Amino acid sequence: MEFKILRVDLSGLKFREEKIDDKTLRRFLGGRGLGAYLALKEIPKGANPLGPENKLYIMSGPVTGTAEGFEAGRTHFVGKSPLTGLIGESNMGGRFAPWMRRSGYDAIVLEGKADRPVWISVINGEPRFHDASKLWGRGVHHAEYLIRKELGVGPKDGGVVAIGQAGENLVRYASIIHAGSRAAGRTGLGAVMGSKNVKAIFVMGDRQPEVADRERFEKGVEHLKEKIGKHPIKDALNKYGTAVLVNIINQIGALPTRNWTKGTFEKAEDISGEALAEKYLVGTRGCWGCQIKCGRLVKTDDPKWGVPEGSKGPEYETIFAVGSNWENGDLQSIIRLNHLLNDLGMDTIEFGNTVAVLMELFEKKDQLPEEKREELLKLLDGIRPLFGCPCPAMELAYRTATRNGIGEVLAQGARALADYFGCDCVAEARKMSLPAYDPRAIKSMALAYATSNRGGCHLRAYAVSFEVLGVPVKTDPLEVDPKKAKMVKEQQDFFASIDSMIVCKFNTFMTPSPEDYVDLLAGATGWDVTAEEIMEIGERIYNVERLFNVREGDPGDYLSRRLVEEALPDGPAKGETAKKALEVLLPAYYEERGWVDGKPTKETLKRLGLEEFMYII
Amino acid sequence: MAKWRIEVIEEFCKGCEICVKVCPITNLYNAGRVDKPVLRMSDRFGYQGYPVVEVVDPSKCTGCHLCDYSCPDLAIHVIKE
Repeated sequence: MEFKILRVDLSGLKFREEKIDDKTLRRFLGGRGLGAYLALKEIPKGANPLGPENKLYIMSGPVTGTAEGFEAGRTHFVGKSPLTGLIGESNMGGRFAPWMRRSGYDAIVLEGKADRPVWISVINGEPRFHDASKLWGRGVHHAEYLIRKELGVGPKDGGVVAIGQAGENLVRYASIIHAGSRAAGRTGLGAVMGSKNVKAIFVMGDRQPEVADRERFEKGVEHLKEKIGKHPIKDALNKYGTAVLVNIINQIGALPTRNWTKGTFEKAEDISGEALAEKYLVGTRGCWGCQIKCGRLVKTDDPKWGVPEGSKGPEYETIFAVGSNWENGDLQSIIRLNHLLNDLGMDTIEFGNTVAVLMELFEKKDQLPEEKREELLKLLDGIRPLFGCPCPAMELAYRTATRNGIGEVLAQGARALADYFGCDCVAEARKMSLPAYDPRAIKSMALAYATSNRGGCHLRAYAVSFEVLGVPVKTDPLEVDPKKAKMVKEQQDFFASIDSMIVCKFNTFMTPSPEDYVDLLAGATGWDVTAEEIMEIGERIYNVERLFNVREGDPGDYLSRRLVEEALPDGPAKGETAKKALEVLLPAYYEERGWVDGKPTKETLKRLGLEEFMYII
Repeated sequence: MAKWRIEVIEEFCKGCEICVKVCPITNLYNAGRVDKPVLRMSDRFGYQGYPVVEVVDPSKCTGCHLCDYSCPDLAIHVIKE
């Protein structure tokens, strides 16, 4: 197994190649694991996330782009997050990583800072810098179009990742966008790319990714293909996309509504995946090799909310962020905002939560101190952000991306906005606002959010799968049982390995145990791995990320006040808070992990072979 | 008074005329109240094979953003100078 990294020195405009040895690779696999390990080793303590000392790791994994039938086209980005100041990492679908491997490199690392805007192309092992002054200030759709025009390649050849105006203007939750809609959205790594003056990266080539043991690999692929192909969740995802969750989550009272003050939304039916499929869907689209094809291609009828036909439709998280969280029941406006936020290169979840906080501030403006109220009204400059009304959001999106007026404050994220006006009305963990599953109604999500290393995130442990969907076993979402701590911990470890291979997490709904991936990984790499080793690698990765946070001053495993003190007023989870879940589950979780107060102990590090980082704790 | 620059990305424009129809100054021109419109449809054909919109008199633009907020293809942008 060979892993080739292209290091891009932007300060000196030079390229350098580096190979990762087999031993290190077997400890971290690639993708998220190797990225986090390199970030911990190479990014200096206390580095400015938007300074030249931060680095951006664009990683593929050993399985990326090797076979069809399951999703292995994802790219993982790692760096220090400008939003949280802790580890920042984000996983993106599409076809970028397979093209990157075909271009001759398994990973690209951006270091330093260019003195003028550039974009980078890597074609068949030949990296080049290009002048990006003509691309600067353009949306991602136009930037990608101009890049393809300059290189003379068609829309299906090669992959582009680009940042929009938000990334250029260092909005703290700017995302990196691929193919117009696939976003490495969370933790604001687009701003890191923007701070380095890199507008876009293009990769293309015809090198085939190598597979060590073809026979065993094919066996693993066949196993996954068969298991995924005949599972009912596959059909649901294909038919309705991730938005199929809107009705399911609304029914159990966990769909955050009106800036996290309610758990059910009366117009949920109008913004559900079923409504999307019935009225606006024109096709589906999958990532590299995927047979699920959950991506939506949509159109709209209302000229007020027009998008080009075949525009990429909103995911469940976006529908929550700019839909139910604003009490907005107009699906067409959600589609349009999704298109616009992708073009500007902004994380829809964080933007939705930030604007929801702004709406609440505007609603309660009479309770603010005199000077804060005047400042808010002055910054808003006549805009009236009201719950239930999506119209001012377009203006707010442009203003945030260009940091104009109120946009200057919105660009700092939901937590910073709430702090600025002295109103604790935000739902967050580690300064990153939460995605669309209310931890008060799904108890183990409280633990999953609080212990997620990159901040409030549903993808470190997707407890919804066993609490709501019943994969692999169904549990009661309102019950606080210390056994759930073990399930969350195991899922975190498993997902860390999955993110490092890199396979899509949607595959794990149908193949929820590490045994399903043994043949695949062993075949691709030639190592004699076992299911236990896959879990151990995951645990090692999770500890490395935690060590990064501890070194940078981790604020601890917490949920913001709204979730632990304010009870849900409606729905099946009426009267519930996340307080008890945290009190019971956190100690059990630390016990499972071998941590004390959220920090790994020396024994744990020794067991996982991380002695080199003992100095941190 | 603020100055505005209007940028049309002709490769993205599919000639739907929404921006021309919503522009307040262009509507005033159609009613004979001002001497020049801000936007109009040109005789040229864009990348997608449709006639594209063109900017006639940007100095009359009031910066209301109706055109860029309503463009389905994000092909027109009003930028503050």
